[in-house]
Amino acid sequence: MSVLSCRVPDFLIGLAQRQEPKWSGLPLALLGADERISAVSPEARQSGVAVQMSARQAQMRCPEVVLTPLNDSACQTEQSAFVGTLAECGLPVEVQTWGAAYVDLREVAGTARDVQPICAEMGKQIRRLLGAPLSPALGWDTGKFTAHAASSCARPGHMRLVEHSDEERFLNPLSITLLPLPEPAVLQLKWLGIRTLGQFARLPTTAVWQRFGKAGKLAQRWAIGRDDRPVNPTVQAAPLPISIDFDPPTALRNQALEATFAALHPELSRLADRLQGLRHLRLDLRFAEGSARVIDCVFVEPVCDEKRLRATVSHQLQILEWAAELETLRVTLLEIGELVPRQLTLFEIDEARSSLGELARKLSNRYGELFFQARLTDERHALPERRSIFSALSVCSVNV
Amino acid sequence: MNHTKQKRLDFTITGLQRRWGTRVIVPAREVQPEQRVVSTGFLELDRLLGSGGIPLSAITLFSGQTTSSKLTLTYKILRRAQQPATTARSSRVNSVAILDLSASSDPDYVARCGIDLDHLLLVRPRTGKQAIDILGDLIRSRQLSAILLDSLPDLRTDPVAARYFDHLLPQLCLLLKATGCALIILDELQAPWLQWLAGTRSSAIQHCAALHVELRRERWIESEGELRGYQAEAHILKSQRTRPGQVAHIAIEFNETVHARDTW
Repeated sequence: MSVLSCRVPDFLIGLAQRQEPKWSGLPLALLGADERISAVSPEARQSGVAVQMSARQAQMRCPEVVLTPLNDSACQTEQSAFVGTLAECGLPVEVQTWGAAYVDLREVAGTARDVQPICAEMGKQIRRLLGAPLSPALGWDTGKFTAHAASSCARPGHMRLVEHSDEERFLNPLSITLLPLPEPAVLQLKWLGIRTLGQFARLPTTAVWQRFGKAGKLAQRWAIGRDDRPVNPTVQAAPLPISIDFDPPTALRNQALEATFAALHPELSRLADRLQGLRHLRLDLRFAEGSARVIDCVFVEPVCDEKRLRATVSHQLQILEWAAELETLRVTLLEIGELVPRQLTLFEIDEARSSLGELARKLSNRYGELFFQARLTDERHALPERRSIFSALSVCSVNV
Repeated sequence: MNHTKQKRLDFTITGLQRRWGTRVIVPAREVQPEQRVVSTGFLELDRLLGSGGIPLSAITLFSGQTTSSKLTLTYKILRRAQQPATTARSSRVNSVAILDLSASSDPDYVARCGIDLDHLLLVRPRTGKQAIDILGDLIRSRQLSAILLDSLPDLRTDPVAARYFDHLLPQLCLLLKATGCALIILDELQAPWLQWLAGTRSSAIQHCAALHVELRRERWIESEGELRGYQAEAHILKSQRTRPGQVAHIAIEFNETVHARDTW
């Protein structure tokens, strides 16, 4: 296999800032259709604002945060253009999430040397399409997970190509939070002192299976570098629609909600075991007097957390005007995608990537330019003050 | 404890370990007391301190007049704190920080004391209160193995900051214990009449410090008519691991690098 992962960091935020340049550098949060935060800028994230918070919660964490609704249609257009650019070369492309996709390079290149010019060309085309602030980060490997990890490590405008022989050395020091495991599993690993993929990979397979189930076993395979999932260019096959009949018809929203989740539960468990989630859920409601309503729940990132899904569906059912009593409810999983890891809300410090410069950058945002690093310029100079200098550890001088 | 109670306790512990993992509960008899210390670089002083160095996860106070070797001794400790522990699997150099309130740190001298400048963060706060806030954030970051606060008199020039620091000291002690970071504070000796007039300014810190060492310059070391260094006495005033009142002699020589020589 030969997989390229192409990722535009903070894609939705970048698009919003491109539309309104005055928002650049400000803490910005985008509100989704469910009135929850769908995307946050790095500045807002630093102040503690996270995805799925309400607008009020975000304002309490960061009073300066700029809250704006997500322009779904504009983002969809840009996303289609992004995927179209990748697909121009005729290779299979699988959409991962907003501004992230896998490209199957199996037919054209198998080694880093062959892949490099292709990646460079693709990177240039995407930068030309989206503009310089939305530069992509590219990662390449023989498996999807390692390619994704490589693109996560690469800076925007750069590529990280991992040879098969270097896979283990590359993956071992990376943070465990790159894996899209559910939050309780990541917390348990944190308490057990498992912080890197290398540590997780060395755990006994049976113990991982016993504690974290099928999802844990699958994640451990990825951590070792064994990821044989193919790049699937079409939308993943969703299960057949589930139909729920209410006899007698009901006007209680809670009853409809409970029935929906009772029917969805096995599907959600199955998706969670495969580290997948729902991207698009459709509810067809047919009322007793013959009218029908459709509710489309589109998620910015795939979701398999029942609590989060329940909050969204409940909100949609509450705001919908019911023409009469509900007779039939039809639940369709229209689109399924891979789960995206959300480590930022779990660990304050990403130990694998943390550095003194990063610490100084965080503190500089709060206290100003008070952090310095000393450097010897001319060790043999006669005057002590000429032998060394202090340099301020500002944002631009930090190695990310 | 009788046999039945002991058996019941063992059964409960085994049940908890089976459910939550072996590390979740461990009988105290099985826990090996781990002494987390940083060597001072002077064998005699390490020996007198009882545990082989200054404690990590606690406050250490060095007091003394100018040229009493307290800063050099601290730099030597920071150098040792940068070295990865012998038991650690990774060989990554630890980072240290200097809160330079006196704005007098000389990188050339710091480098001559052996500190890796790439892993040294120098902070020059504008006010005492800001320094205390930054100190808290640095400890909380868990990325530093040792922090030097240079120095207490500069912090105490602002009475508001002094009160704020005294108020936060217990919290800082808890944070240090949780993060495993060593905090070294330098203090100048006060004149006796000032102590009588205003009381000892570092009494709150002396109370919270796990180790308090007073340093005094003993004599200059000369060789062939040239000044080569100096010899100092380290008086242990407070320690959790050894008897206070003991004295160690340390010698510091200047050549291309600052050399710590064991005298006795």
